[in-house]
Amino acid sequence: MRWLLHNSWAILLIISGLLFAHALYLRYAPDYHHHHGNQWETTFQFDEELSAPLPPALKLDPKARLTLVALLPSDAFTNRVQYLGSLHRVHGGNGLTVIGVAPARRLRTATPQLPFDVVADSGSAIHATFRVPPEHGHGGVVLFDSERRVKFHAFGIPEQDELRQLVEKHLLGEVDYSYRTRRWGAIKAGEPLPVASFTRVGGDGGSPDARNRLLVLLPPGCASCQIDFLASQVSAAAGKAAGRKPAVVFAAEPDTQEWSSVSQILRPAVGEFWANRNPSLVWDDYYTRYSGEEGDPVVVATDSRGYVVSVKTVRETLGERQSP
Amino acid sequence: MTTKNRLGIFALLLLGIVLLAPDASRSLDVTAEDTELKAGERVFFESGLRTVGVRRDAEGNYYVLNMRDKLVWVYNKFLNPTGRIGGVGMGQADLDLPRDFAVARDGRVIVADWAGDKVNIYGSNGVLLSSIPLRRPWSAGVLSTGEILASGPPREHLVSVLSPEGKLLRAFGELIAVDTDPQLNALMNTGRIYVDRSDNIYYLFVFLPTPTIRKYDREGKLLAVYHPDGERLRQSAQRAQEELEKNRAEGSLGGLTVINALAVDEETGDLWVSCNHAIYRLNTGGETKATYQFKHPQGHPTAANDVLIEGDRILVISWHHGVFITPKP
Repeated sequence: MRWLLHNSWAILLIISGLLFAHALYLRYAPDYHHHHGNQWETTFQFDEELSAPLPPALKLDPKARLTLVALLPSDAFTNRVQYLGSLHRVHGGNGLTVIGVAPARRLRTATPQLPFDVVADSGSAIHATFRVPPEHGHGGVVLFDSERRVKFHAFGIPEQDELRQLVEKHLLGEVDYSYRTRRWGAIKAGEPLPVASFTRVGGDGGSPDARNRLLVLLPPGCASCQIDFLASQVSAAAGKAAGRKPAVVFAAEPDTQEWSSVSQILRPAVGEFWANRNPSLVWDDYYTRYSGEEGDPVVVATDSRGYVVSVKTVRETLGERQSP
Repeated sequence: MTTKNRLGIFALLLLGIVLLAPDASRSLDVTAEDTELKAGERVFFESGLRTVGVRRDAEGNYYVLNMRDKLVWVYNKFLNPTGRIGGVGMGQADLDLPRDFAVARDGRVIVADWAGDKVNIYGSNGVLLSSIPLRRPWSAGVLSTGEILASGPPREHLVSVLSPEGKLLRAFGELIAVDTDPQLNALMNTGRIYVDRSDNIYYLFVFLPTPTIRKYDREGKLLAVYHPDGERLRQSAQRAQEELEKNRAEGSLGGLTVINALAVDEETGDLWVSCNHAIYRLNTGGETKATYQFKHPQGHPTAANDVLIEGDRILVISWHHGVFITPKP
């Protein structure tokens, strides 16, 4: 105790020094607002080459034609980060590699359910390479080609459609600017109808047959009042079955009242009703430019093998109007 | 706070203003002076959300600037798409956040890329002819001589006149002293450029709480000052004044849009001024002849962010819904 009292001024001086040093750290530590334009946050120029050797933790795919490195933000742009997974899913086979990077201490919280690789950036070497401070709340994105020439660099994560346009531009050479109607996600022409995802509603409740079908897929959330409105279109589309057996598909298991009212309205044009039991089938999460026709039913035709021949909106099927 | 930090915050605030501008007047009351101007056919479908403006060249081709897709859609006189100019990316021909554009008589397209800190000049075929570095260009225009007009948050003059190669030829337009803070003052003097067929240059102050439009000749000589008036405009101006006072008190930057855009009816000389949900028609003396409330085809009031007058019809540009053609009242 005597020693403490005797050296109290020295101890106070040391504590003050530590507090001052901490204040200096808070003031000058890497941070979005305090470090714009410094060596951490100097943006790359278009086509600038990543000349320095990349940190060994960042393992690039030698076959990748385009690499998107996402320095994951701490708590912002959640939907945009999730969308990187859609890019990975759609273009992974086309030569796109998506790599997420998170500070080691945030690795667990930064990577829930991301379908692409996320590497821990111990020592912040990767962040330094891509000039984004590890404590940058908004993260960053760098897109570079197989020759490591930077095609795009941004602090923060661009919005979904801009990301899509960037990847299509530098991977495919052409951006799709068309507007679409939301499709049922995993139902694509040329592929087998995922019939295991469906069950028959009413009747014997057995497994549906995918062969030679004309399916009218009702939009998710479609209520019987909308069916009233759409009944003539759905019936007319079913009437264009051309040898195919028509069926109406609910996006999810309908309740008794909904099923009853829909079947009353649509019979006899449609004699069979299915329900989807696979939520991942509903909505494509890649394309985010919609024409406002999200409420349109989608018509799917299959061939004698049960493969999907075409996926169109009801309006397209009836030839009333093409999507702009 | 360093100058760079302040500039960064200033840039973010300006962006915020742009994004929030259409909402600023959403709660404006309907006034007795309004005549309804209902949107007719929607055109230029390729450009939907965040359509900024429409221009037309001497041959009747249309150009539509879309801020979201960072490009200019090109249409022939039959309104069919024929090409695109610009696009997303970091290349010199790409655009970052295009705010405004102009089309020269020879078909050259001049785009003010606000976030890209440049004014890009493209040929009518979409090829980049030159890229002029310029700090935060807000608006662009072009004279019949080919000289390019550009404006940004101004410090010394409202408008810079550039050669097609980017050389500064002259500058004109005296700033209005609104505040001693140079950044706030620059914001309040920020405006859009419109050039009529006779090379008269109109400069409309976008955020100034006193609705103001200046008219200059091609050399920069001040010809007239208009202060359009009307109930809706007064409401917008009052809100803008309150916002200005609030920002002054808080020491922050920001403002609300008072005037969005202007177009001249070359047949009558009338000025058409869009002010959020209202469109004002002024005579050549600047007096209000009529006020229109713009409405979506489905009936709800919609912001008119720009207008193009041609013959007996008007093209009204809505940030949220695209471009509509409607008969001129």
